[in-house]
Amino acid sequence: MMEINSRNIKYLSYLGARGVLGQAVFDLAEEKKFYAVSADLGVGSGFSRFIEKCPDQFIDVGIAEQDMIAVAAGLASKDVPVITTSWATFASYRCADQIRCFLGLMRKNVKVVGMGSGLSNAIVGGSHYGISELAMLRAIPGIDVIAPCDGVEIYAAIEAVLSNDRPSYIWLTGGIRLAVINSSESYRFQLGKANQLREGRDILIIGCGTLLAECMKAAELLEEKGISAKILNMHTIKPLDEEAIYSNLSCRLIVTVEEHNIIGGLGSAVAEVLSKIEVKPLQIRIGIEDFVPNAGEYGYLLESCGLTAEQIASRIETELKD
Amino acid sequence: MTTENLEKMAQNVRKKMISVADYCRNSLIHWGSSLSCVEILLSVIGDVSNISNVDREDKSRDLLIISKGHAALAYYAVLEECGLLEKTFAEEYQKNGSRYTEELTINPDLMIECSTGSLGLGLPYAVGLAIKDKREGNDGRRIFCLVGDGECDEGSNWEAVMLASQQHLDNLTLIVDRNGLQLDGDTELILSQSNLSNRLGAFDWKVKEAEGHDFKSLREGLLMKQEKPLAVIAHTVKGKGISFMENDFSWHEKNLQGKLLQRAKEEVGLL
Repeated sequence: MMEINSRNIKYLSYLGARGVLGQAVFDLAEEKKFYAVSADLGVGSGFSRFIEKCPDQFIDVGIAEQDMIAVAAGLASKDVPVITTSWATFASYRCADQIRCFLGLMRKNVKVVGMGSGLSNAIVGGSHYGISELAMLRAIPGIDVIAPCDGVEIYAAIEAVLSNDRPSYIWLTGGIRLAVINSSESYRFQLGKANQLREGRDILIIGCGTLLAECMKAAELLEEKGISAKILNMHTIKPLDEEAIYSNLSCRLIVTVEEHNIIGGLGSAVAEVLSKIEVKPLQIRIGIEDFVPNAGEYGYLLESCGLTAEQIASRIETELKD
Repeated sequence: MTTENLEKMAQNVRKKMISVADYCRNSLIHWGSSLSCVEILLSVIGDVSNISNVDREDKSRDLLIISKGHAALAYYAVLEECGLLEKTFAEEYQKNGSRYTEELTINPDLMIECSTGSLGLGLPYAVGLAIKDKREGNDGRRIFCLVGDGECDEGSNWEAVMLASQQHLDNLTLIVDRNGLQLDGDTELILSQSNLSNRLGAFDWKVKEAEGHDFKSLREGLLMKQEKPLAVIAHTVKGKGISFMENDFSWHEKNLQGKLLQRAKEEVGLL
């Protein structure tokens, strides 16, 4: 696998989300055996080199996502995991029952990657927005749900899930270029353990996925106004790092930010933890307010959902004034 | 195994099935669809496959995926009749926390390869197993999958049917329990499966029609030489063996007690 150094961090950010997925799968195939199953998105998943190298380990089921999950379950064993790929909405909702039964009930060693999630398929429109699936997936017992935030984290998350035998879903946001969020060579990914991205005293921002880039900018804007924001990268939505929340309760406000419906995603998961605590800061959930934004450029969509750095900062500022 | 022996075993299986009613006073049981596939299950487990006489861990052991999970009762009774259970299952059937669930739950000890009950899961899973065997050079063993004819309504089956021929799965055998009835009634009046042979043939499967309660006919179908995926369409009678259940879709899932239970016991030879 690739070493984490500044050159590779930059290289991975240039590959984009799917490019990193393909790179990770290609590199990992050197070290261990796994199968990859795709629903007509093998090339679209960046798997071309993997397919060329390991043709017997790739199965294209055609545009048939239900088949994709069930066939993957048949191929999977404790020692040999299977990774499946499609666009996030089809990789989750179209085959929801197969995920529920094979990954949830039967605990098959299958790693489902939902590509182009969040609003990253912005131009394509509502059919391709991945803004609801975390709600459903979190409620299926036994499935790890991971939302990596940049190139190096996507790379590390793919390595992590293919190295364990647990069923998982990887919520892959981000387009053809990724902002670098984890710039340190000492970066390490540990499933279920949140990473602190920024130190701060006044408020705590908990984010996930590539939208953390906006959170980082929002924190800078807040700093200019004298508000010091700590940021937690909650890359694992399930199992949630509850400890990271318990140890950060001394702030004035907890803000969850996600490129997902405010119902059922990261904000809800954090609220479920906070509900167990008697004295705690107020939480505000920033996300998509239960509607489907019109198609357009990614920046346009972020703005229509109130998810740009400026909007996040302004919302927090208003909240603190009230 | 001789046909006579298998027929005797089928009688015993139906006895074991009816005997669970004494332990399930208030609950519903999928009588119709379990009784229709007794001969199919016995034929696969006790006759044409090596399932009953190869170690469970052995990679050469054939696998049976029962996609119609509501045939669980028939399956447990067949396992017991084939000497594959340590003790009788009837008292434990449907009991709290029991492994003998009304729909099949994955369990290596019971050779249940897949939890089913959500219809249309078994065949694509079997396709995955068959592809794995092909890719890993595990030649020689067969993957059987039993589906109901009503279950063929589920589109996921047809995704798998297409993939099976695409991948040249000559190690895969599909058996359709063609009993002609589903929960709402006659399959022909709901979503016709009358030309199932042509449909499967059009997807480049080898297809054989069989009499689903006739061991000779089943054996002939199931032991056909396979150069592509094989489907055996087994024509059966829903509720087979209990006169008042036969061809009556209301017995798909029902409580059996009182006088009718007495009658069922008489008909299978329990009384």
